[in-house]
Amino acid sequence: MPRARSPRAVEAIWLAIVGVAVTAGYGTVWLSRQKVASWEALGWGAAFLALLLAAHLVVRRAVPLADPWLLPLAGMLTGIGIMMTYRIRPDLAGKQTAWFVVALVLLCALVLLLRDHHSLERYKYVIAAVSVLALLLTISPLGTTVNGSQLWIRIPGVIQIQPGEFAKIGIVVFLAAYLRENRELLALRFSPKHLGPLLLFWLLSLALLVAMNDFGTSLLFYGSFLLLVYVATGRAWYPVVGGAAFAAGAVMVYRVAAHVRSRFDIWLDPWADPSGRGYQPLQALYSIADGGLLGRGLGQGYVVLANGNTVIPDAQTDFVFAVLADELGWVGAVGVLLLYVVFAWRGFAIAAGCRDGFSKLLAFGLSAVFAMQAIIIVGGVVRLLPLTGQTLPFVSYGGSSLLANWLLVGLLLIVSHRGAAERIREAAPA
Amino acid sequence: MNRRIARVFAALGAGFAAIVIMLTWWQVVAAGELRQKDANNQTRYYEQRVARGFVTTSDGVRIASRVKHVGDNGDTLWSRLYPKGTLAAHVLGYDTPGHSRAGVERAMNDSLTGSSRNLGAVVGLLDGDDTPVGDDVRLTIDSQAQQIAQDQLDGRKGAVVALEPSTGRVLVSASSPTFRNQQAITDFDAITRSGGSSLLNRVTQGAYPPGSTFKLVTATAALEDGVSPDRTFKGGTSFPTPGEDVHNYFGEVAPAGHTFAEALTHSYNTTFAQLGTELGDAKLREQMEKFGFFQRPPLEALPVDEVRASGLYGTNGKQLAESDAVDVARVAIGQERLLVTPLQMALVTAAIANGGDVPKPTLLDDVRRPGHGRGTRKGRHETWSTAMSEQTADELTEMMEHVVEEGTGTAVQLPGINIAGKTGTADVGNGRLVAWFVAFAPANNPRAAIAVAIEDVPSGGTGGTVAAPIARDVLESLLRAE
Repeated sequence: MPRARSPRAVEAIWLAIVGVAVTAGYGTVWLSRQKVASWEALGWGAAFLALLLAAHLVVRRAVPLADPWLLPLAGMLTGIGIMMTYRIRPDLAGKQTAWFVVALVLLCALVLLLRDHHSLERYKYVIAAVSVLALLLTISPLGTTVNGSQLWIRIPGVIQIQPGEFAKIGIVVFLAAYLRENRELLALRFSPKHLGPLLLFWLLSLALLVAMNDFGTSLLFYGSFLLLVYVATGRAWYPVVGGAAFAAGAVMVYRVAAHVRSRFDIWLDPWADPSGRGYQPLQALYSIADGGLLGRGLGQGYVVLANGNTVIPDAQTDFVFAVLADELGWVGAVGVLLLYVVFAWRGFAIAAGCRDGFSKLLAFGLSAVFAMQAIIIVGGVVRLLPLTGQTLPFVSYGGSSLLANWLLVGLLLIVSHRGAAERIREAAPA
Repeated sequence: MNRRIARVFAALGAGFAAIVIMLTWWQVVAAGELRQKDANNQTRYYEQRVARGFVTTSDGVRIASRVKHVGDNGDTLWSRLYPKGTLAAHVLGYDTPGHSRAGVERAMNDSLTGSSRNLGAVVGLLDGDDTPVGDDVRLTIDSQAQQIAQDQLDGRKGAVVALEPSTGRVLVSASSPTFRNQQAITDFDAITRSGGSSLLNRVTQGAYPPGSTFKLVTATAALEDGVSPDRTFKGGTSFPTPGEDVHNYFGEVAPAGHTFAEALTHSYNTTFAQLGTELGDAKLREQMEKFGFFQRPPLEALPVDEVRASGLYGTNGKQLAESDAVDVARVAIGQERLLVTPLQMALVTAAIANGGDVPKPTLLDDVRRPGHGRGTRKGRHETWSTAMSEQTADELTEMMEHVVEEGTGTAVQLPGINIAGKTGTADVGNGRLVAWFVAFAPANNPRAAIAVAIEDVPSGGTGGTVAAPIARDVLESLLRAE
């Protein structure tokens, strides 16, 4: 029997490929900006690869049996993110790179310190409480409104964070632990009290929609809840009824809350106010259309003005996908989407390979919330869904998003390592 | 539990698939439409990044230039500059940020932007230069004769078009009232506000009743049908038709025993009404078709919707079908429901000058890639159709010479040059006339064929007194230049 290549060897090979690809992309942007080829671009690429390899070494030591695809995929997306930040807002590229270093340190600390994710189960209520509190802070006086959505907490002069990015992980951890404990109860015969949690989450998500005016955050939390309950209990009516209830609730909110309504209206018809509220989504559409099949080429699009403003407002955060579609075309945009699909597939495969309920639900929930977030924000950019203030995981500029998603990678690495270890233990002759 | 996980994966996969479908819609299917939207500032920007090619006249006068400026993202951008005021305004057209394009600027856009050969970013990077440069377009227009035509038209409504019979090269194409091309960029609305449809290119879009100039078509059909120039007619003041009788101008009496040739010299309506009736509807239409009536003349340097087909039009503005009955006696003298463009009448004249072949009209001398000897595309000189035999053309030429020597067109006479011409005066109602003159010269070796149409002429004016002097001055300039 041929010896299977070790997961870490696979990971190292792919990381090298990612390093080369990202360096090439960065070099292209550099060339188009500075009009000269330079070793500096290559040096930057080498540093990026070195950071990934450092993380690889830590992973090799702490969780050697972990899934080999996650690190290269997350690395590729982060590389694209830094490259696009440099392309759109060169002044922010250094900061984004610094956040990447912090994120990797956090990842390493996590895999080194949290050897067993099951210990999180004990703190599920604390985690849930902290997550909900953090979300509530955004609508407290500390919260600030960006683009009409209230997604941020700001301590002036100190830090500005987007707690929803971390809360989504916290909520998934809580739900996985809670459902592992109570799923037998929920899966048993139907009882009216089962409607309790559903009703609670329904109200919570609608409250989020009204208070934050962000359809995406609301859908993300509610959706992860429904999917986790479905997978835990096998009751298909849960997501069906829950989804219908959400739609009904959204229609209700649309009728009642004017600010939510104007967001929906501009989604349905951005041409109604092309220079006002429709300006941003229309600029995104124009960029996407301009890209065509093969794109303008990296650094070649009409993206940045001389005064540093972007043609599409917030191009480096919410609308980074539109710039990608402009410069890399349909081919590049679909390629990036495939990276998300493969990432989700790995996460779901990890969940499927685990033995215990908590690990399964945790890996599943994290992957589902990750994939949903990508669908919600990209869906908003291409007008499949109303626009939201979600970030595109790993790619959008922003520290909170980057840190949270690398933490998510860390958790998946731990779960996959323990799952694989368990399988080997079971297969070994007693 | 794993089956459920797989189901959720499939559901999320469907979400990604929906995104790809939307992306394909915006980026591939609807992309062209989005790029063309008036409000699309991004398309506008990319267009300005291209240094549009120059447009010059045949004798090298630059009528469309460009100026460099810095865009809002620091890039070098270019915008159009029209340094020559109104020279060949309608042919040139405009390229404006807000009101798209017209004329050569529209029809030749791919060449002027070089988009047929610029492979975009890659080439730009390899060249080490961000500015794609378009091809230069040289027109067939003769700037001096063009200017004379425009000066003559100034203050009137009408058109002058002249072409080289052997090649179809359009030497003069003037339309009045006109506009300043630069104003199309700076204040487009002021042009439309000024009224008088000054944006209309009357050479190719003007629809006029041809009056007696159409007798050339009737005469061609008759000669081709075997009627001799020496055939005599009984003369008189009127010719009976199913409708109102046809009369001669000013109640003139056609003398008894006058010949076919004399009938053209003096433009007797009665004689041509009789000839037309004898020929019949079908033969007359067939002759018109051979001259290029009923279809748009092929001018590759102008947009198709700026070139109009000449022919028989109903009150609904559509061309009549072959089955529609017409008063053939009136068609034969250029009345009835005939509407023609000055270009079409110039083509009829050019065909006679050219021994019977209608030249394919062209406005293009060449398209040249700047800084490159290669890649130059020359305008083609072709025959569009054959309208008559060489013998018929010779006979007609002789008849038309008499028009200038002793007939209705004496005002066009130039010392030392034989000119062949035909006048026309068409009543458009309200006491207003269209005055026509078509001619070519020199009659024995034609180098220019011309059509002049002046509209809104008060009664009393005729083609011979209003249009012929304009033709004379333009022809003089064209013939002297060579």
